[in-house]
Amino acid sequence: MNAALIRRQLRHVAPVTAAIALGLLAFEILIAHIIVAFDEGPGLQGVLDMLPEFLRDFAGGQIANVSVPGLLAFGFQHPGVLFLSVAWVVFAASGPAGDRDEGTLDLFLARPVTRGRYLASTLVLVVGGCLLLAGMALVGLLVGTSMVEMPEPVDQAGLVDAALSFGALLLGVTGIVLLLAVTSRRRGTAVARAAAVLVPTFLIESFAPMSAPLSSIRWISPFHYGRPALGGVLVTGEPGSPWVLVALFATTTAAAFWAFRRRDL
Amino acid sequence: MSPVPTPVQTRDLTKHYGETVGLDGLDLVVEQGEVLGLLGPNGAGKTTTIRLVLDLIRPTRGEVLLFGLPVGDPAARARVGYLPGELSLDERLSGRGMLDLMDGLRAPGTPPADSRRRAELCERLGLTAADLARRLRDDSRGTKQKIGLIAAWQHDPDLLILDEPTTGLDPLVREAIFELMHEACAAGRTIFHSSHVLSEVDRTCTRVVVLRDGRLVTSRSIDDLRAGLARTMAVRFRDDAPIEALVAAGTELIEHDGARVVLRITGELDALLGVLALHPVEHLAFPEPDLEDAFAEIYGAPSA
Repeated sequence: MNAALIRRQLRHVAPVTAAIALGLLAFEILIAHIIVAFDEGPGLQGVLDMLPEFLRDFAGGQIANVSVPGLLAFGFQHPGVLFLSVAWVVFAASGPAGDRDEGTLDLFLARPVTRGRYLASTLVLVVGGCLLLAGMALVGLLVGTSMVEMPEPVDQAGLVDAALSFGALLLGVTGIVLLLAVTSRRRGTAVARAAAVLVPTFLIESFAPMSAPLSSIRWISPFHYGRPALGGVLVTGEPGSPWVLVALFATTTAAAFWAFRRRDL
Repeated sequence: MSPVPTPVQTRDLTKHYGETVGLDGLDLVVEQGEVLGLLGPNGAGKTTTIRLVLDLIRPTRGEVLLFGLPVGDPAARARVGYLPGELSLDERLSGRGMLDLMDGLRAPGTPPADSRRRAELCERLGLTAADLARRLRDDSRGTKQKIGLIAAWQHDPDLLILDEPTTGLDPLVREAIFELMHEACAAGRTIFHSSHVLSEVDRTCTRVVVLRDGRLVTSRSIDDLRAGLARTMAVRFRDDAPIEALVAAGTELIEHDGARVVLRITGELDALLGVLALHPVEHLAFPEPDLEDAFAEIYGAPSA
């Protein structure tokens, strides 16, 4: 990797990274307060029972036995949280396609920087960002639960596990986007390809509990493996498998390095 | 003393883009201290050659050595400065930020560029501190071109690859660039100069390589090129022109009007000078040969 490249990329992504990280922190702090507010009202299960049946089925796909740890874990699974975090990964990891698109890649790689070092600089930045986002979400939950009196004790180790699952999901997405970025001539193409992979797989995982055909193919979705299992609250009884995501990250990243080394720029 | 490695050497360098031939079997040696002009019409293979020399694209066949090293070796590219023909800079950065970034893209353990060298280049190309502080997106094309040139030059490379270096620059700055090129050449640096502006090539290069349809058409020194050119001489004699003697001296008569003649000369001048010495001359014009004609002729010639 190269310090000058990392500094440059950091400068470009720092404002949006900071905004998303702070947004995650605030949202997770808020979650704890919302849980307490509901608990003092109709109760968490009561809120779920008030939903129309199809929404109950859908929500039940995310949270089985509504409970405090289950809702805290949902803090990592909220569509808004996922959208912002995954969008950040797509933005940051598509940098090589952006440099190629702008024409600066030729200039950079004519200097004594190997393609591997160039790509490693992007990778370090994106992995650092994934850890930051997962870390900020975790800090938000820890701070939030310490600020209010929770209806039941919070398993802090479980929260850490959930944050690791979330981080693993972002890493899995990083590998996919990096591979698409090095095989695209334009950033727009890389982003469109990433959306073509991530949006359908997210929808498959989200609607799988309501559809047997979707349920049979949910294993293809990276989002299937990133579900945090906090207090055993997942509806399907299948906790996420972060190691699958780590393997996905390792495989796609290795493929990205291999492809980038061989391709004409 | 060990011999200095050849700055650029290509062997059977070939690049195909699908069915299209970008470059076909280029064998080229660029010696230290040369300023090599790379010429050819659009699509001739100039950019393909440069991108292969910089390892930005991979050859279908053949190889490139920079200073005796495979082009993929970063140690080879550490000695190269590059200005692309279609320059793209990171427009979110300032000029100074871009130069710092390019300097930072060096091999591990290599010292940074000499700040005095950068300052000198800025001064000679007319870049002020305010120019360097401004974001590149707000800069004119000429200012960006100057930044690109300094980025290529600031680490004092042994080999400079300049693709249309004077694009968008005013005549004064162009002069400064020619001076810098001559100084670099005198200091033993090698320059690979691709240009469409033949007058620039004429001024800066010691040798030209002409490509057409991906193939080498010719590789000749500028002096050879000139020597091979037919030149015209206009002479006004005091009396009638000695036509028979002029033709006998090996010249071709193009125009004749009493005492005035226009001659086409392709060979040695000795015999002609002997004739002129014997007949009083009132006026004589013998301009330098026009390289544009030579290049037009070469572009039209069959590939090697």
